[in-house]
Amino acid sequence: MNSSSSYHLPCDLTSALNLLSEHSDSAKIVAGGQSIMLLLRQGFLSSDIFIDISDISELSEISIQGGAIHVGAATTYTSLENSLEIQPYSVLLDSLHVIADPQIRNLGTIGGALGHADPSLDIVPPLLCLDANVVVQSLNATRAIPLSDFHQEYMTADLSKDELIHSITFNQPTGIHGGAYEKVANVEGGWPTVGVAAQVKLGENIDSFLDVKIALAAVGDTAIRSYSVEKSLIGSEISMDSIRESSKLVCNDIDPLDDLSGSAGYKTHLAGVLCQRALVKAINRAGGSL
Amino acid sequence: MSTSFNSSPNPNDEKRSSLDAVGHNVVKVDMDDKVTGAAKYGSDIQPDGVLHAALLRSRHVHAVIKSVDTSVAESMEGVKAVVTRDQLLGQFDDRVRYYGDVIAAVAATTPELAIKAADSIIPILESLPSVHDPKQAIRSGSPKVHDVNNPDFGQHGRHEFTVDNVEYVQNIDDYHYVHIGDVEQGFLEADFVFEHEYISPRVNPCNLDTHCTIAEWDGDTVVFTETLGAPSRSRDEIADLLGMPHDKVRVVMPPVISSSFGARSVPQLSFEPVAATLSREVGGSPIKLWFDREEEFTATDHRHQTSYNIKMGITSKGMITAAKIDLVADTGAYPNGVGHIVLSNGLSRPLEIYKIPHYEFEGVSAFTNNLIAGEFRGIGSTQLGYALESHMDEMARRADIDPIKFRLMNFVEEGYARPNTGRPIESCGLIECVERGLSTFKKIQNGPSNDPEKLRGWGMAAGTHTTGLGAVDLDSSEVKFILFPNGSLVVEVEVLDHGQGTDTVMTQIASEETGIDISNIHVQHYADTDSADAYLGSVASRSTYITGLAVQDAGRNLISTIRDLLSPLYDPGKIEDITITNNTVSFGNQSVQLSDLFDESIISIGFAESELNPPAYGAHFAEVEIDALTGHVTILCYVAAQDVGFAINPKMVEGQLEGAISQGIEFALRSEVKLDRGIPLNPNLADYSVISAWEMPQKLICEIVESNEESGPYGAKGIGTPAMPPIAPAIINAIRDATGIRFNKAPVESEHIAMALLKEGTNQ
Ligand SMILES: Cc1cc2nc3c(=O)[nH]c(=O)nc-3n(C[C@H](O)[C@H](O)[C@H](O)COP(=O)(O)OP(=O)(O)OC[C@H]3O[C@@H](n4cnc5c(N)ncnc54)[C@H](O)[C@@H]3O)c2cc1C
Repeated sequence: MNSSSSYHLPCDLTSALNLLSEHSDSAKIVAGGQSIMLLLRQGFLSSDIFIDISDISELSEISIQGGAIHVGAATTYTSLENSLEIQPYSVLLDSLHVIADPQIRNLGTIGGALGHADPSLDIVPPLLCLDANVVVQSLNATRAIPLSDFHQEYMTADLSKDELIHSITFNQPTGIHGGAYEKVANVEGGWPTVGVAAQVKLGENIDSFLDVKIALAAVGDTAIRSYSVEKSLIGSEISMDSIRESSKLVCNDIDPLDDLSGSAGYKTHLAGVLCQRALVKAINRAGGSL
Repeated sequence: MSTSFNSSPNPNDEKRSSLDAVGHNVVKVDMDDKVTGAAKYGSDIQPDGVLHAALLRSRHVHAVIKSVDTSVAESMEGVKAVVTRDQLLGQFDDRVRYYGDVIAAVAATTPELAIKAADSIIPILESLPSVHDPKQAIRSGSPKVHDVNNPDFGQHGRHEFTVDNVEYVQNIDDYHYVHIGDVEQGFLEADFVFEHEYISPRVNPCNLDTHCTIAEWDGDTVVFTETLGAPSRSRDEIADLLGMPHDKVRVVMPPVISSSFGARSVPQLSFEPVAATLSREVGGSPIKLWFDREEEFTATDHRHQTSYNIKMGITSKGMITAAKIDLVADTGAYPNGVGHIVLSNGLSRPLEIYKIPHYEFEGVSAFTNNLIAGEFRGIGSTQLGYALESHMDEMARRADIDPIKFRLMNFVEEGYARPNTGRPIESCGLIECVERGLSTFKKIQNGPSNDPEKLRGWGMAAGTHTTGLGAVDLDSSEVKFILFPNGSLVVEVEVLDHGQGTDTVMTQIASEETGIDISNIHVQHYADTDSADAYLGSVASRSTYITGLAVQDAGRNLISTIRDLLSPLYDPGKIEDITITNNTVSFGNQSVQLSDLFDESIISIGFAESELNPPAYGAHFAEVEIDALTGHVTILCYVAAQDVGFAINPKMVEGQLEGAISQGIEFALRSEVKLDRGIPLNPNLADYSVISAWEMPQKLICEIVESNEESGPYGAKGIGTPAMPPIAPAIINAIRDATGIRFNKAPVESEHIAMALLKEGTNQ
């Protein structure tokens, strides 16, 4: 932050939206500050006006409306982790438990993660598996976008300068379902080398897949759905062999890079391993057995 | 995590029960201030009118400076001084030699302004060819980092040497060679010969409090306020570097000493000289130079990256016949005297732990255009320990000999004369370390897993590092006691409490000798290098050993001073068992107020010296569980059996071991400053992995072995540094046991393990 920048802490949504529309060219939204402060300190970002939305209570509400869950953008990871509404969503809970350290989870928000749009964020693959929608608001309009469309390029969210993320919504899964998130990081609480989320819906006899969703972190420009794995499993019988074989297909959908967290070859290997493990855990949680 | 102390019977129990303060778990005397944040470290000091410094550092790894345009910086309001490299005090030429080398520096009224001004400076550099592989660097044809070998930068330990190896011609920081017996003959006598190379990582201690100095001039004397672990040695080095008389440099300690792990044992090239120059430019007023984390990673020292090639011969029974060790250490761009220690420790440690009849060692520390290497806990011994104990383990496994029996067969023992110096090993608890450590380990070990995806294994390693500087020089220490009539005692010592607990240990010894209650004793560090000549500070695990002895001496002298004061007043025959409680002296069955004996205060001086440097030993045991598919290593159990001579404070010995274990795990599995042709890829705590309590062993037991070192206070010898060498090899040997694969490059990252298993087909 430079000496001429100003910092606003509005208490209600309208004031925030007003400020945003007034300063749309130069304003930056601050939620938990866990990503933006790093960018500022490293000189990757500068801004004249900061609008801190963490005091707007409307933005940190969690509610169930007509079978869908609404999570306010300023909800912290910790409050989401502790909320009763979220307990049935094991795929989300798994990821909430392994994001960074408690100190960061106490401040970092779900809207901040979606706004930041880093492909390594742990929270995004589970939300993709839940077919989440992002609700975006400006002074004059509100729109809902599927999360899969919201992040289309590296570190870019589909947001206009006068818009903020209001909330994220997703439907409660129906039928016999289970989910899981598996992650490998260099140290506990570290960024994922690879993260894989799986959400399954099983047939009545708990022996076949009615639906499968697989999404991965840290293996491309954005979090990625693995349609190859999903397609090969949907409709098939549950067996360890089919899971093992299908998990290998994950390499068709990902595009990992060599970087400090590991080589592309290792990440591809991990993606298959974690895909298999996430599927097994999801099936077990759905009551299926292998 | 659970730890236990002395789970097996200890022969020292009787000795311990006869002592009041020493040998017991006294709570650290400096704890309250540190945990409440009241402690005032160097970086907390903010003198009135202090100016803040910032540096423009090279982003080239080797280049000539053609020009530096400082005009924008100079025109900024609030910028008080701008200096370029050629204006710096000390030996700075027109070449930058590593990523982070200094090009220019600025002093301004705020830190932010200083950074902005430094960033505005435009240097024009012309790249030079660079060298990053130390083995290449020393051979002809590679770019030269310095025009001559062994350049003089005022570094301690600098000595003349001749290089016996015709291939080593340039970029030589230091060179050590020894040949004892006839190794070729030794290999002929062997039934089995095995040779392998081991590469160690460039790790950083990651001190929480980054380097910070305040420089100012008092007439023609420059004064630095900062933690320097070896204050008078550093004063001399800074003076030599600046080309000034030693007595024109003063080093003053801040109220509370920062942590170090070696990082603060030597001055830094782009640190003290820069701050001194800026201060001189502004008429001597104080300049604060405080490194940020990236500077801490790029411009302060790391553990030397080493490659060890070890060739060893053994008989069919497992007796060592010969060993030939080749070491190449990466000094980085500038010398600081530590290359010398890495080589000399690499040379002597094998002879302090194993009987090796025929021995040849050649070590070279090489200049490269990489980051500068320096001191880190267990200098050189840690790298050697990792290489040697990996080798011992692999050798035994290949020869089908039990790795522990193999070691036991070849260990040195008390009285054994080290062949390089002829000096006998003083005290040696090695065998007890192995026996007690193993028996405890067997009790807590999990054993094989039923899950085919979880590979379990266990391994051990022994290790040693010496106590004190006796081998190099006569090591000595002087302390001063000041007793006041109210019964409070000030103990002035030269050693610094970097967090390792010397203030507490000295308090315990002073209390033991005088009877004065712990709460009435206040340890103070000598304020600065002007207050004592030999001010060696806390290096080389010497504090408890040598200064502890001096405190013991001062305590005894204080009691005899009191005896002298009493003897005119009382029957000398009845003045026995003098002890001081609160403001009273008791003796026999009488007592007298201190204020009746003296008015203001009495002083006693204590002195100790030693020509010995008793090795302290450890045998550590680790059990690991490896996820065969991801390569992730979990340390299930760990037993550290460590011979400390005598534990003056058992809890703090455990603390030293646990802290060392966390740094050893980083070395073995997680941490490395990664360079791409000299450019650091992870110079921040987001990308450089440090471990937390999560990565510590799930079960951890410290077995304290007490071999009673005769020359040490109450039998004590060192623990801080000797704890390091066995850790990484114990873990890596356990990985070998679990996977069947010898990893010879640390850190052994999950990826290396997973990919190696994949190659072997173990985890298909
Ligand atoms: C040490 C450390 C370790 C970490 N480790 C992990 C990890 O292991 N796994 C992981 O997933 N993450 C990790 N994180 C990142 C963390 O998850 C994110 O920092 C966090 O989710 C971002 O939320 P925030 O509220 O702090 O966002 P901020 O930093 O406040 O904002 C981030 C971005 O989003 C924008 N923004 C914020 N809110 C909104 C909104 N409502 N509408 C529009 N734009 C908005 C901001 O303008 C900014 O561009 C780590 C972070 C740190 C500091």
